[in-house]
Amino acid sequence: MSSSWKRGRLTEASESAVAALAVSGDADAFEELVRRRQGMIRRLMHQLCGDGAMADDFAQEAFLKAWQKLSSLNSPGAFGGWLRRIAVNIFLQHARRKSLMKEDSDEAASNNPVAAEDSTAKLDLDDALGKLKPAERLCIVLSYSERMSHGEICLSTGLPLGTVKSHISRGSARLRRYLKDYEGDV
Amino acid sequence: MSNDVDLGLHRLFDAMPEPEPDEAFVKAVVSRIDRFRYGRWIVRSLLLAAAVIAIVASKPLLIALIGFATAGINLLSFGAIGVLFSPVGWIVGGALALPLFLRAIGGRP
Repeated sequence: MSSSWKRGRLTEASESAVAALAVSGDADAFEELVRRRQGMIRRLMHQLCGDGAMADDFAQEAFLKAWQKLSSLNSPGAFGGWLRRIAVNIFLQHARRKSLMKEDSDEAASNNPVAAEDSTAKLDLDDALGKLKPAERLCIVLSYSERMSHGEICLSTGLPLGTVKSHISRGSARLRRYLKDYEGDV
Repeated sequence: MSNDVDLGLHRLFDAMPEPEPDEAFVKAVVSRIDRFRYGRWIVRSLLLAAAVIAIVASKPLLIALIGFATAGINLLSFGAIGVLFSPVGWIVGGALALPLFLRAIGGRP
């Protein structure tokens, strides 16, 4: 079986079929999954980190972790959600290592070049997210981008429910303020 | 109002474009997996080699230990046989056992 023919077949196959093949140890199938899901994971990591190079590094780490844990994927049809959870956990591990989850952590705000309050700056969502504190940004992304409930965020981040709610409330208010240019949409 | 804000933010997040498919990213993931596999293989090989070296290096010590154990067992077993099957053993055994026997039957030792 030639590799190009196999790759063609993999490209046409459904994700659950490709995931099932990958679980059985097929390296080409896993490569196809990376090809299909890279956009989703890279965007998520970019929203969480705000740094393109770091986001890509975390995204690669997420795929590596997924490859290591493939045997624990019980339902190949749920590959997307399972991979997203792994990616969020990778970011959380990094955030805990760097103590970014502390309530008073201002590291992102102080390190980010767009962080300085500048009401005249034309900000897009990326830049506005970069201005939030890491814990706020995490809660906002998980809530609005990943559509996780407050309870789910609380469970996956280990933050108290009250903190999650206040991060989302304060974060969305700040985002709205930063995104004045999008006022029509927001 | 809050629901409108939520909807607006949901729309904004949904509208954020995914990065363009990048074959270099796929290759980077594949090479990272390959590096991990080779790394794991190397670590396992090193551990196996270390185990073999440890066994080979400790061979004289193991032989000496087995020798000592064998000598100890032989000494005990031959000592017991010597006591049980020699007249000297009977005398010594009798001398030790007689007082116990007499005490058991109520006589004076």
